[in-house]
Amino acid sequence: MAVQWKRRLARSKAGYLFLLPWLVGFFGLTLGPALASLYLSFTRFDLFRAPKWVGAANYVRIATDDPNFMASMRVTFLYVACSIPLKLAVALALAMVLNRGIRGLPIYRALFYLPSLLGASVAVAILWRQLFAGDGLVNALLANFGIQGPSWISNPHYALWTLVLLSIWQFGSPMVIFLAGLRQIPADLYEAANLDGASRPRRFFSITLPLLTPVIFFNFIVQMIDAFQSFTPAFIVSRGTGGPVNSTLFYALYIYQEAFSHFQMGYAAALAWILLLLIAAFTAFSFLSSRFWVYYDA
Amino acid sequence: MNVRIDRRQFLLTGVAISAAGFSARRAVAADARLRMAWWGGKARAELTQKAIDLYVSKHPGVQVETEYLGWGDYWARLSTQTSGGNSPDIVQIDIEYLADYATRGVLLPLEPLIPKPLDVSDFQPDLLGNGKVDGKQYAVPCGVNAGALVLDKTAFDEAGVALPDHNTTWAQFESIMAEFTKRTPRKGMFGSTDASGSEAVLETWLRQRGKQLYHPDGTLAYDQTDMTGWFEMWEQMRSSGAAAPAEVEALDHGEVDSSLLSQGKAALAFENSNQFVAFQSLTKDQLALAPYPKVDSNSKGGLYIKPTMFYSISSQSKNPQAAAELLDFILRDPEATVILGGERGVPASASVRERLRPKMDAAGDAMVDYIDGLGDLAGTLPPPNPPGGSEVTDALIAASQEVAFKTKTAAQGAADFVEKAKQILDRAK
Repeated sequence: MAVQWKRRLARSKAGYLFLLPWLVGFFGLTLGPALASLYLSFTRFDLFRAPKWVGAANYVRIATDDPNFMASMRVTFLYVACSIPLKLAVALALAMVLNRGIRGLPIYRALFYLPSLLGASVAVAILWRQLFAGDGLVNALLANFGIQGPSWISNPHYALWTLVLLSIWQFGSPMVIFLAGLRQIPADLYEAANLDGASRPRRFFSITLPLLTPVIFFNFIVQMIDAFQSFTPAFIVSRGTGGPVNSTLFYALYIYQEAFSHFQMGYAAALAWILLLLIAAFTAFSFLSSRFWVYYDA
Repeated sequence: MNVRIDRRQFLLTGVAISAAGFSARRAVAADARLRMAWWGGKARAELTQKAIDLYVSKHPGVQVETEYLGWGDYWARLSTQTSGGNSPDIVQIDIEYLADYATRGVLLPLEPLIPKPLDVSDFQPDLLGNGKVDGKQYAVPCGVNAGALVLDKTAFDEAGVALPDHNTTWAQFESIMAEFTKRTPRKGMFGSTDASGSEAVLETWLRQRGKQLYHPDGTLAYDQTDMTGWFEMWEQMRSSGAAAPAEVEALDHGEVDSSLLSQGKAALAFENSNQFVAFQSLTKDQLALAPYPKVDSNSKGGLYIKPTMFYSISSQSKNPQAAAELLDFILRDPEATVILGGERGVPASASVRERLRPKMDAAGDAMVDYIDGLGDLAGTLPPPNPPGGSEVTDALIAASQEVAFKTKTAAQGAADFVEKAKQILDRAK
């Protein structure tokens, strides 16, 4: 047995050697810190003094005695629930327009993709601040129609929606994936449907949509995981406060505040683990549900 | 001779060469490579950089890297750097954090460096005392300031409204500001900012009524009734147009550049006197200083003269001697102190203050005059904030917004806030 093992190891040594950079990265930069954060989530840790074990106290406080946790949950779920369907709808609509074989398609594709490249950046979030401020461009446009708009970003009723809008604007990457998915649908299905006299909506709902479900599913999962962790836009637009009145207190922003403004690293680690579990649960649920609505055989 | 280098030797030689290069570079720079960090805006950055450039030009071979950020980001970064063992040599420290940092052993006790190279012999003893923790000098004060209204005098003149002064009461303040909002020709400008979320202004208001923020034992020294009165006063100011409405106020994030005064949305800001320089550098209008309003004409002023901020040397510094030399230059050199002026407050060294006075610009004069003219409006220093204090500060901002946006009544907002503040303090004990 041992000899066999040894021989196998010798044979695969080169393989492991080549894997080494990745292994070092995985253990040193991903798994190690993740386990450390799991440990820290059971401690009280202020960065300078050694962590102090407090058992499940952090988790108990999150569950029973933290109004900001509930506020940030509400904001984050609202954001995820609103931004993803809208973003995917916009992405699909544009992909279908672009799929009609317009001339200069690569140029349009690149142009529409551009916001996605910029979207998560600080510069765009600052631009958003300017657009939706009380005396910003949006209100200047509305003024032409005699509408006096509020200061969108500093009003608790609207601030979150400006961020949802920012997220929808970054439809580029799901759009490109939809475009590839649309190309995969066999043309003969449409021909047959045409012969049978199927209307355009009918063709969309009976051919395009069902055959596109794997792509929709993929986009949905990727975007959902991303949206749960959204941080930059809220951080920049609210200047790190999550305000006004916690209306843009994204969960990731709340973790940041606890960790780096209040130096409660242990508590922040516990919050982070809850986010991880939540995302895992939603992803698992999505996969389970996919059996009922994703059609894999084209 | 046949030289053959196989792969292993080749690699080893490469490693040896780069290691040699690395250590050589370190040897040259080791004598004086310093890092200095502070929070603050553009004006502070420019002045400080100028003073440091002067130092470097006089001390060839010394390299000084500077890092500066806004208030919130600064503390996030400094704590991360410090826990990673990578703290800058010279750090700017606020009284709120001084004890936290000193007791955790990340600041250097300065006694071995005093009086040479760091000479603080003519610093005001009580100010120097504020830089001590457990009897050891961990920090030296940059200067002094006091709470002050920074007023846009040009805008007041335009509107034909007289500025508030040393005797203005809160009630008079409200009518002056409402009058301003009505009469100013500038579009979208209000008289006052809404300072209901400012702990410093709340503190002054409490002190005028014989109370304070915290008892010496670190418990909350005011109650729900006080807070209800506070929130109601500001509600009245908003409804009479004296103070900016919630939506406008929410754009102010407590930094000079986002302040409503700098944005031209309010004619004044509740600030500290040394920030006059930063505000004046952002506008062409002429600015002026005045104390916060009083509860009534006989009440105390509620203000106090305090160290603006401190410099400390990190215990992680590899070159504390060089750091102390630079610090001494910044605090006492005749040329450097003129460059820096009073941007970090009126200097704490008596000789520097004397030397500086004739060379000060209008902004500097206004600041020194303000501090000297406070008289009995200024009282004694309050006890330092307890642990958890900075979280209470944040909670007050959130509570003030809830009331201003009318998601809660003044009474409800006050009750919830006091409850929350007590919880935070309990937990932080």
